[in-house]
Amino acid sequence: MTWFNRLKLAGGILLVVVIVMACTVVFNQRQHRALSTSATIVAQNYPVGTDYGGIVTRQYVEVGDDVAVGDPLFDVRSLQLQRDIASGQVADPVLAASVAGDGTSTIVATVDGTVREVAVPQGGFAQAGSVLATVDQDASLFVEAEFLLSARDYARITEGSHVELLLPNQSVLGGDVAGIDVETAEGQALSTLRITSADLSQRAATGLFQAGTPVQATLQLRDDGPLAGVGDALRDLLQKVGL
Amino acid sequence: MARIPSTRQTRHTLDRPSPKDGGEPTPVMILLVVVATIGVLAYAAFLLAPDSRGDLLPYLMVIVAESILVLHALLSMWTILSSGRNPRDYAAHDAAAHLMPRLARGDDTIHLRGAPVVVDVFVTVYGEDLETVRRTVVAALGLQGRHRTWVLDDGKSDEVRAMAAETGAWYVRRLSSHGAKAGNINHALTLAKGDFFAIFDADFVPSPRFLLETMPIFVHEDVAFVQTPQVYGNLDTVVARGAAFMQTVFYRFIQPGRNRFNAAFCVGTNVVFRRRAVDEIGGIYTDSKSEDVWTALLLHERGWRSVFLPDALAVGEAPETIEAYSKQQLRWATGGFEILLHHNPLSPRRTLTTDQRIQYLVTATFYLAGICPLLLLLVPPLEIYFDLRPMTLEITVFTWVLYYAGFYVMQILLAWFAVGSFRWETLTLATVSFPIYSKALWNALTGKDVGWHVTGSASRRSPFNFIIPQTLFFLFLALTTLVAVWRDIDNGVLTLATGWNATNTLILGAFLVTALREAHALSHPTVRPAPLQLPAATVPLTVVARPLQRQPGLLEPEPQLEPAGGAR
Repeated sequence: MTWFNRLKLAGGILLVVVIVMACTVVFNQRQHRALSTSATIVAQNYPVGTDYGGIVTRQYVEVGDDVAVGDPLFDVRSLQLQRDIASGQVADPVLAASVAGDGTSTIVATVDGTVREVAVPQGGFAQAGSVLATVDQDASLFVEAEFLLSARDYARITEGSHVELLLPNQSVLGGDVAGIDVETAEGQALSTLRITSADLSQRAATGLFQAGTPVQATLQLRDDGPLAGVGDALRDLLQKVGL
Repeated sequence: MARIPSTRQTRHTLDRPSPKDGGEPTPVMILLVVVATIGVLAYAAFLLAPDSRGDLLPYLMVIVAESILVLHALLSMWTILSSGRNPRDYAAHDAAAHLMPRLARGDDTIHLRGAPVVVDVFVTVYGEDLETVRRTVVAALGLQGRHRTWVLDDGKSDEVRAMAAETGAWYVRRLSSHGAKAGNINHALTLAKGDFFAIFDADFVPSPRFLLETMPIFVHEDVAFVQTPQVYGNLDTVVARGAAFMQTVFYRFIQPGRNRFNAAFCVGTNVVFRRRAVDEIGGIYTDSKSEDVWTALLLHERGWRSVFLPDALAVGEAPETIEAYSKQQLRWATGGFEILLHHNPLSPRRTLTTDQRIQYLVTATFYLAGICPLLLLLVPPLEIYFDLRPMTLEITVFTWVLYYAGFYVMQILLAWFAVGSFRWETLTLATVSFPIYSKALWNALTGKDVGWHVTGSASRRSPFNFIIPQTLFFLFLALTTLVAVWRDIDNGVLTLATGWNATNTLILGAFLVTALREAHALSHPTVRPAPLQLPAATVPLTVVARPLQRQPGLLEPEPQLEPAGGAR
């Protein structure tokens, strides 16, 4: 071979090795990742109910309104309550005092949050013990994600595993696995993961960040492969240089 | 990742020497073609079905590659089915009977339509081994039927001149080397004024019957040239066997089929031209390294007819080394792409028939099929590294094998039946040649000139000079196979991608082993005549020719600069 061609071959070999190494790192990254089959934002929600059946005489809020603790939500006039107070069956003096003479009581929000659902609108009749509305508590958003994993991959999830959450607007939030439920479907582990994210939970439950928003969760599995250390070192390096 | 081993130069294998068996598909062959066509169509439908579509990038790569392969397979099978017609009709047989009417009186002058014709036989030489040239020149001199034999030496070798003088051929040497082989022939045409001229490369030894078989066809005034196949006698190396078998189907069935479309083209050697036809297009086309195909194309555009005779009438040398093979393929492929880029046969400006347009389109795009393995080789690594699959995973392996067999196994079966055997060398060469064809496409696009070279000539250079891309690809695939095996062990399942990738690695590996053997043989030479490396003549010579003394009336004597030998 001519020396020029030897140099060309040597350079080519170097390039091929570098390409294979880079591709292997990419491949290894994918090997210890799992994509969710479905994932949605979920909020901690508080149902607002009444112990006494009655007619909703006034509705203070609509679906989507922000409410704070103590904000009135509904006026409910209950003849049963009126009778019970009159007959002295209501032992709680505070409750008894809050009820007007015609049996109307005001139901207030118990948490800061957003009205998610109004079950009985103004003019409707609320059964005793029924739910009038649901309030999503602020700063309580988390993600519920389903993964279909092989048994081997399932074993590589740990509580606290890192999860990347891709929102519909393509922004990415970091999160951690907080709870794992699993059942077997077709020989694979159908896992439902509860993923908490500091970024997410601090948000008000409005707009993009509300219950029901679909997201894509990428779960980082524990890396058992021989390239584990190399991959981490490379990732650290990339982060350090600011990429 | 096979491709149909057809097209361009072929040979009749030595193990099946009967020369007359080309060009007529047997009923079983026709049946095979029909079944293979159904297989091809089923495979195409399978690939294009929306249900089996996978990830975009590898899917597109597979579709592009397979479309070209499938289209070429269909068109070549169509041509094969058309190859049943005997090019020798009544008039030709009649002319053959009256070819040499004065033979009884010892005069073997060739007559057509009762009139004598002058035939020139050109042996083009460009630095070939002296013994090789001598063999050809002696055989050319020994052709039955009166003719004049010319040695057209572009290699400027004094030994060749001495040999020509000794054997009795005329020797022509020109000052420039413009236009390579085409220029050499055009220069000779200014000296030799015969009605017909035959061309033999220095390494093609013609059979004595060559003129007897080809000349009668010219009784038809519209025939511009008669082409006979290239038959190879040197099947000693893997490369030579692969290259030779690769072309078998072409000479056995494709070229005879092209007779039917009047699109059989010239392959530059073992051919007889009618001088009037070539004069009409201004001589042999010089602006391409594939002067043969271009000349045929221009003749067809002028309305001339070409005839391919499937008889083995000359035995030559296939490229023996990787270097020779690479250069030969690069030259042919560049010529093919040049037609596609500069002389699109589908353009309305061409005066070709629809049949000819299709056949020339096949010729012009044939080497695109040689680039397809590149795309297909990259598909398994895409899956291994990036999890990108060309097809969906719902298909069972059985379904996949069924469709795949419909195309590739049927093509191999067809080739095996047509040629009498199937050679792994062909598959290997078809798979590893993509860098050559890619480079050819690039050269044709950029108009880069590639040098002329001698087919089959021995070279002292390491083959690895010419297969750096293949070596690197082998390394890439080998490393990828390791990663794939590691992945499969990790996941506990063997994947199709790993299997394919390992197969491709083996094919490239087999080629590299061939290259290693060749390199070894080059560094430990056996007793083989060394290539001629004689110093060029110091005296500037233009033409060294000698008039034909026996037939003074037929040729005006050229200025005799230096006598080089007697006429035959």
